[in-house]
Amino acid sequence: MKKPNVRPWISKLEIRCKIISILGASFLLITLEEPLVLSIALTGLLILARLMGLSWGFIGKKLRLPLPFLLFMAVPLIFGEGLPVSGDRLIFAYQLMAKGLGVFMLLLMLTYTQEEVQLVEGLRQLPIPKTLSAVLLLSFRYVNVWTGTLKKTYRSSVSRGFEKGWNPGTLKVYGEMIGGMILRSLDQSQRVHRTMISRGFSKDLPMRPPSPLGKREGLWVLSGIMVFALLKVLEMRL
Amino acid sequence: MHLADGVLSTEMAVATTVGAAGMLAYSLYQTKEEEIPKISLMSAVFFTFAMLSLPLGPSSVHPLLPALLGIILGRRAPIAVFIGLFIQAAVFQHGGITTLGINTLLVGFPALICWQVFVRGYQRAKSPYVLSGLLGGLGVTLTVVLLVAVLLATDIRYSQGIVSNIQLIILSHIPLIFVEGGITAFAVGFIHKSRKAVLEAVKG
Repeated sequence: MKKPNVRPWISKLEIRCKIISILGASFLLITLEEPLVLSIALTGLLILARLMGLSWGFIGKKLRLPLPFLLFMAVPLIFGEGLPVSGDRLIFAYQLMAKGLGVFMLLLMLTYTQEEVQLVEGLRQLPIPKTLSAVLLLSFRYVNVWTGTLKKTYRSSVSRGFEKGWNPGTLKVYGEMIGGMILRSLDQSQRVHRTMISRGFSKDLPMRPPSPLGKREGLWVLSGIMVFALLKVLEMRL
Repeated sequence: MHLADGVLSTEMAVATTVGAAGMLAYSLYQTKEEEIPKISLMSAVFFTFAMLSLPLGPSSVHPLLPALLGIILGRRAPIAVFIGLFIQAAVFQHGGITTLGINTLLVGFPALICWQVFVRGYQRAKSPYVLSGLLGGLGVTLTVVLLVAVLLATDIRYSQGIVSNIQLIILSHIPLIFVEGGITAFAVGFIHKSRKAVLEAVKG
């Protein structure tokens, strides 16, 4: 999907600030329970997304991903006890949907306001174990490789008469496809390791030294989290 | 399935995040340098196949692959699960960020169980197809049991009603038990036929 043209103020914001404030805001958002406060949070997030340059069309297209999962949980909550629908269950389903969509909006802001590579680099600059950091970077690089390989393998299977579905024959094709890819990935991992060793690898993949975070960045993190903390205070007062 | 943000209560989201961090610490302990590319590439494979949708009536199911990951990566499987799920959540908004902990536990814990069963059973098993097929089914079953337990602990309303969330989750995962059993059986069977040493190298 085409990347949205986001505003420079958000694309230039230090990535670690975005990650920390969005993670903090996400966990604070799910503590909210009052439907009115949740609606305020959701409306605020939609306005913020628009200010960042994410279009309605883009947000709508992206919503197709979480919506089925959220509806799968919300619809039985609303209609599970039959009609008439109880107010308590309606509120519970609304809370679930609003929290889910709110965190989804936060994730959209995190993912689509800079390049994916910058996001991964930003994550690696956070204080996480070196092994996890190295696995994250390598996995991220190989996701596209394996997705491409899977598509090619699938296309070639279809051209030889394979039909998508599930029966013992199809499962055999899928299973052997996965088995083959695992063997290829194991071979590839040995080649990658040899290459890394020849470049002086010792558990830690090199990255640019992180720039120190200044007052401006600190203020961003604080304001992102503070907004949701204030909403929580507002909820407690209601 | 992956739990979306908003489904868990704050307490449960925090508790499962802490639990997943503990499991990750166990998996990361004494990781050797040469294991890193293998874990990374398997994370990418896990991610790729978890995005594969198999048609099921009007809907579709996604392979979870806990047994296969446990068999191939052993103790390191939860690392691959966590990274795969993290990339799915952060880059594709599939799954969730506050539910990353529970989603890691849902696949990582069954992977560890399947690994232990495989290590004890592989040399004695008459057919790797049967053993791995059963493990494939067991992996999904354990995931569903954990998922149901977490939902029950989160809010009783998930289990109430003529058609409850928990009933729907159990029903929608029954076909996946057989699908994963089949896929795991054929994948491990293929590896057993082509390169037995990979499976023999799995240590307890």
